[in-house]
Amino acid sequence: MNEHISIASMGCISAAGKNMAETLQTFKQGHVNIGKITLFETDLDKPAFEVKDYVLKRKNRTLSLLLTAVEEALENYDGNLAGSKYRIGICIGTTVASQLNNIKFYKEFKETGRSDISPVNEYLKGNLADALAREYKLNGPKVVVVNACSSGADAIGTAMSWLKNDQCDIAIAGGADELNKIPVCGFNALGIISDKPCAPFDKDRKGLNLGEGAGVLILERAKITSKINARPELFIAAYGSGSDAYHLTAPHPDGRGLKSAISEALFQANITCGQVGFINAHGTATPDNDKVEGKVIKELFGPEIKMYSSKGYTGHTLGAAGAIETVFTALALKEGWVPKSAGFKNKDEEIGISPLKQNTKVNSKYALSTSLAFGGNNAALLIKKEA
Amino acid sequence: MGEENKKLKIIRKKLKVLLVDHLSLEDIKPEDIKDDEILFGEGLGLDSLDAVEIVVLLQRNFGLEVKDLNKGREIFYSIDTLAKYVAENMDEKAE
Amino acid sequence: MNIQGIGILSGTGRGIKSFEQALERGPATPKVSMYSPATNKEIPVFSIDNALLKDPLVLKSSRRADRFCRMAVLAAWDALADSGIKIREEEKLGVIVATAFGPHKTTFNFLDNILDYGDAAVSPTIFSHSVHNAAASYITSALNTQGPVSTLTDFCFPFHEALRLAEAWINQGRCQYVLIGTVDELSPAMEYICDQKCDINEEGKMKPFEFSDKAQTVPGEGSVFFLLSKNEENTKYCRIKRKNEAAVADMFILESDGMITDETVYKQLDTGDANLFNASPIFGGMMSSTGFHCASAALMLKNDRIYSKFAQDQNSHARNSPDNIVSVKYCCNRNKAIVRLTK
Repeated sequence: MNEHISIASMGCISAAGKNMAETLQTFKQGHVNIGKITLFETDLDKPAFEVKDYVLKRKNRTLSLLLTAVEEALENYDGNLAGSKYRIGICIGTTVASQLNNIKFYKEFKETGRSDISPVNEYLKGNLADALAREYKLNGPKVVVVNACSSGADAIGTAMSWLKNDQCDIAIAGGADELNKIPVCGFNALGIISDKPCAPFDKDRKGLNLGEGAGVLILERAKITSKINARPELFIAAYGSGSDAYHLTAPHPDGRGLKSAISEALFQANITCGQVGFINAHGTATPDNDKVEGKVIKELFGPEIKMYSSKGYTGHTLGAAGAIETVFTALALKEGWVPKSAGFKNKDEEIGISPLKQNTKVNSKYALSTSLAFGGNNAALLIKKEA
Repeated sequence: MGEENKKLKIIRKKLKVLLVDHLSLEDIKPEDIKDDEILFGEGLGLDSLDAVEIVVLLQRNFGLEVKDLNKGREIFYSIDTLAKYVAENMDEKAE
Repeated sequence: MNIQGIGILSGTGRGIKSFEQALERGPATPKVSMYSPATNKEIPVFSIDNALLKDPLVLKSSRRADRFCRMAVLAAWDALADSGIKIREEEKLGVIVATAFGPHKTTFNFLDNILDYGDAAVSPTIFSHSVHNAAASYITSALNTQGPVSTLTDFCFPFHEALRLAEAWINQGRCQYVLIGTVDELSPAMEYICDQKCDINEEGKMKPFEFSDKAQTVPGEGSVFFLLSKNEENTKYCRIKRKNEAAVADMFILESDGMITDETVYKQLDTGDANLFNASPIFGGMMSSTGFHCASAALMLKNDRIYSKFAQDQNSHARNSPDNIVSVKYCCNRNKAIVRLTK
C-alpha cells in the first residue's frame, strides 16, 4: 500500500504556454496572456485566458487540449504505451466535456420536438477517458472524474488509488477543460468574474478570470519506473481529500474540508508542515476562496511559507486546474524556482499571508498543490523530489 | 406620498412572489414574508447563493444592476429596503 | 466488500422494501410520456413521480436541490438508514457518486436561461446545480460527513468504476465505510434521444432474454446506493466484488435492457448451467442500471430465494436459491464488466 508512485512524464497546455518549456518562459518573463473572449459570441465583456494560435487536433476542443498535453508527456516518456506489457489506466478530470450542453441541439428540440442528433453522438464520443483509450488502444481501468474545480487533482488522486491498489501499473492522469460559454455565463451570474486580470490573495481582488487548458502526468508504480527509466526523480508522495459538507457554492468558513485534505496528505507521506517547501495554492482570486484558503495555509504552515497562485498566468481552468497546477508544482521542484504570484500587489490583512512577489529560488524535497471546488470538494497533492 | 406608497406596495408584493418562486422557498407563501423580516441568516434564512440570485432577479425584472454586493448588504436587508432601492432606482431611470 | 445497506429509488417507488415488493409482483407497467408538445410523440417510460422526491426531514437543507440531486440524496440517505449503522466520526465515511449523463436536465434549464434572458441574466443557482458533483455535495451536507468524496462519470460502466474506487479507498484505509451509488434522470430531451438512439417498445414491454440484434427498451431513471464495509462479519446482504472475468456462478444476471441494440453477445451465457435473471422490467433501461441489478441480487442472496418472475426459467423456484450471482454487462464494442455477489 505504501508503494511509491513516480511521475514518469508530464505535459501541459494553457494560456501560459502550449508546452512546459513555453510555460516556464512565460513565468520567467511574467507575461499575462489575457484578452477578450474570441472563441464564441457573448454579450459579456469579460477578459479570459484563451490558448491562442492553437490548431485543433480534434473538433472537440477539450479533447484536443487533452491530446496536446498527452502528446507532450509521451514525447518525454521513456516507456511505450502501444503494445505495453503493463496495465495502463486512464483517469481524467473535466467539467465541460461531461455535459450534454449543445445549445443548437437543445434549441431546435425545444422549438420543434425534433433535432439533428449528431451533437449528441459527438458528446457520446467525447468522454475523455474513452477517447484516450481508443486513441492509444488501452484497456485498463478508465474513468472521468467530475468534481468541478478539483476534478484534475482528484483524477490524479484516483489514479494513485488504482496504482496503490494493484488495479494498474501505469496511469495517464490529468484534467482538461476548454473555455466555454456555459461557465462564462454561470460564473458571471455568480458575480465572481473580474473585469481585470485576476489578483489572487490581493486585498482588492475582484474575482477570477476563466481559462482553458490541460495537464497530464504519466504515473507509474515506482518499481516499474525503475525498470523503464533508470532513476525516477519526481514522485506524488501523497494525496488527500476532504469534503466541507457545508454549501454548494461557498467554502466552509474555517476551511474544514481543505484542512482535512492537507492533513491526510501529510499523514500519508509521514511528514510535517515544516517539510513542505512551497505551496501552489488554488488561489482563484474570488474574495471567498482566497480568504478561506489563505487562512488555512497561514494557520497550518505559518505566514512565512512560500506560496503562490498560478491562476494569474492561466486563469481558472476548472477541471484542468488541479492537474495543470500539479505539473507546475512538479516543474518548480525540478527547476528549483517558483514564479511570482501574478496580479498580487497588496497584502490582505484579513488573510494575513502574502504570496510571492518575485520569482523565487526553492530547494526543498516536498511541495504541495491545493484545490478547492464547488460542492465542498477539497484536494491536496504532495509532490516529492528525490535528491 | 400616497402615490409613492402605492408603488412601494406593488413592488413589495412582486418581490415576495419572485423570491418564493426563484429561491425555492418551500412551504412559504409570498404573503408569509413580512415587510421588515431580515432576509439573510436569521429570519428568512437566505444565503450567499440567494444573494446573487436576487441580483439577477432585479436585473431581469426591474432592469437594475447591483454592482457592489457590499452595498447590496444594506439593500438586501429586508423586503422594505429592497423595495425602496427598486423604487428609487426605477425613478432615476424614468427621469 | 460487504453490502450493509441499500437505498433505491426507481419508477416503482422508494426504498428497498418497495423494490422487494416490486420483485415479488413481477414486471411493472410504465407510464406514458409525451416528450414534446410539438410532435405529440408518446413513449413509455419508467419515470419517478415528483411526489416521491419530497421528504422534509431528509431534504431539510436541500430546498434548492434539483430532481437529480434529490434522487441521489434520498437513495444515499436510505442506504445508510437501511444499514442501521451509526458511523463514528473517526471511522470516516466515503461517498462515491457515479452517473452516465449527470444533471443534464439542469444543464438544459440553464440553456433555457441563456436563450430566454441572455448571457448576462442567467440564474446562478441553476448554473451551480449543473455540475455533476452537486448531488455529492448535497449528500455530504445531508449526512454531515467529511470523508473523501468523488463523482465519476462513464457512459458504459459508471457503477463498476465506483466499485473499483471504493475498494481502493477501503484497502488504503481512507475510510471504513463507503456509500456508492448511481443516479441518472430522464427529461424530455433525454427521452427524445432515447427514442432516436434506441428502439423503444411501444407496449412498454422489456424482453431481456431474446438475445436479439434489434433489442428494444423502455427508458428508465433512478438512483441506487449501497453502504459498503470492509468488515467481513455480519453482512446484512452479501459480499460484492468487481471482477474482470466471470467465474462460475449459480445465476447470471444479464444486464440486457435494450440500451445497446445488439444483445446477441449475451447468448453465450445461455448454457443451461446457470439460471439467467433480469429485473429491468421494474426500473427500465438505463446506462447506469448495474446498481439496480446488484440490488436484486443482494435481495435474493439475503432472502435465500429467486424472484422467479424475472428469471428466464419461470419454474426456477424449483431450483436451489443461488449462493453466487454474477451480473454481466456488455456495452459498446462488446466491452464487458462484471460484478460478483456472494453469500
